[in-house]
Amino acid sequence: MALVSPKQWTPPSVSGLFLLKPQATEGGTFSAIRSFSAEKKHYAVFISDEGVLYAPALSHYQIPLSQFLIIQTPHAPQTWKTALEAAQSDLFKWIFLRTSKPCDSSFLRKLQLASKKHDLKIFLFSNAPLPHWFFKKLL
Amino acid sequence: MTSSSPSILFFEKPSSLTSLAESLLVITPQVYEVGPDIYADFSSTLHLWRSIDSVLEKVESILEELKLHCAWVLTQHLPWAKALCIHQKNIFIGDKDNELLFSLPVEFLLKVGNPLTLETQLQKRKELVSFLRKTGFLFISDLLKLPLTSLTSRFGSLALEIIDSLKGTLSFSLPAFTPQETLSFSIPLEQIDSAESLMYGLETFFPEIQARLEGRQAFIHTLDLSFTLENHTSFSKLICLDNLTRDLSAATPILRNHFDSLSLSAPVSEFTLTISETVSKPSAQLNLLDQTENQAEDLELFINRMKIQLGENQVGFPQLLFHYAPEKSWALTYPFQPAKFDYPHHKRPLFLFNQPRPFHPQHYQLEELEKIHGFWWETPIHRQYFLAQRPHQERLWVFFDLLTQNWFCHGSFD
Repeated sequence: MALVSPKQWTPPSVSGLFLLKPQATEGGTFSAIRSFSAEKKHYAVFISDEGVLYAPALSHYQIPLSQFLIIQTPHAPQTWKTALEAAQSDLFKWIFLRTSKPCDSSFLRKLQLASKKHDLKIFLFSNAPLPHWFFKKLL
Repeated sequence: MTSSSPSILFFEKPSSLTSLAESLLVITPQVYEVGPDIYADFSSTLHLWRSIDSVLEKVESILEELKLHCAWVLTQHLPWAKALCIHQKNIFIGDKDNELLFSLPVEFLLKVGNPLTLETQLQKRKELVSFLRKTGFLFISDLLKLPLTSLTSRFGSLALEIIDSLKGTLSFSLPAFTPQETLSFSIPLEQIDSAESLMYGLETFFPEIQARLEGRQAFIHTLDLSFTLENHTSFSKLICLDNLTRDLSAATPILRNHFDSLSLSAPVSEFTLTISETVSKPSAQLNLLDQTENQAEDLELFINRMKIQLGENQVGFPQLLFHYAPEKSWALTYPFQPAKFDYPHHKRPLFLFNQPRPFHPQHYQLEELEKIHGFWWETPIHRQYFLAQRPHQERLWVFFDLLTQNWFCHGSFD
């Protein structure tokens, strides 16, 4: 049974803002989060108003739980605000976001600038329509 | 009863008191030497260690390096520590120390309280215990059943102090331990019959030297090697190390060369190694790019700020909990608490929705997965899970609730 996304992409080695649509053809959450498993030093944060990551599965895929902070927000605007705060704190090198609603493009621009300034990888999992020019392309 | 996370370490009569106290300074600066015992309070540095397990791991490694086999305790409150030292290793997580303390016989009240005054109050405490015995109060928990006024009228402030100690509200301060003496190690005469045996004898001290220097935040600069010969002459040699180190095994070749080049007029009767000069450097200065400590503090501030904004249980590191229901098999905690078990691979998704959402299975291709049945004495759960997919859409983890006969979407594989 193929529960792993069929599309295999190499995790990005460069910083930036990446958009992954939660679809079978896109291969988002699993591949992006799995790429954090080799991380020994830096922290990651997952922020969402829709749900949480299932911890036993994270543990099964050898994601270091002691370096993986999870934040549950009450609504989408709070998710974007928290993500920006996390990006500007310089505490995390990996930020994963899953939101139910799109945000103002100024937020995306701020996230893009923060990712460049602090050398962050920000993965956004969303099916919401968002302006594509803020995102780096994943091969 | 005030409850807090366990952060008090107690070591009963360790054979090398100073070495252990110095080594514990690497965990916390709040180390206290009271008579033959050692107390350490790591509540202020717990966030730097991330979890209690890391602290315990460090304590174990220190005891191993120093080759100590003393009894020790991890508990919530300092006044309880001495009384709870029953076995070789007494680790209390949660409120287990509380439960044990109250189930102990009243004789253990001789050990509950401010460690500085236990000795001077011994006679009065014995009177209190004998009074309790006579009146039929056999366990510590019985003491709290007595009216406070009758206890204080008979035993004065001592009764108040004991009650406060039991409740974990007694406040007092202990003199902090500061390393004073020079690090000096002597090799017994019977171990010095050749340069090889002398080196072997020295090497047994290396882990202790390293642990004590770590506690002092110091590095070796100058070694003083003193020899006393059987013809009552003595001489010494100073060796300066170019590289700052705490690990003397790095200097083994230098020491070996020195011993080989020695020509002695008589057999050696005594040998002493003294670390005569040390250099103190905080670890941050060793590597300008190492910001680990600052990062841990900043992270704690960030998490606390998020907790205030979003709620106590909305932020934290995932901790695995042993439960068959997917939504109850984890919790968010800070500091991180590692689990002692692993889940089997259930073929469950990485992402779960906050609440299972109503789902309509029409137009989806369903593949049967696991079935979950709860225990009869709990809230009933009877679910049949499926993988639901259709072209160019998210692959969903859905279940059919056998009780309500409704479909729900619980998570996503993508």
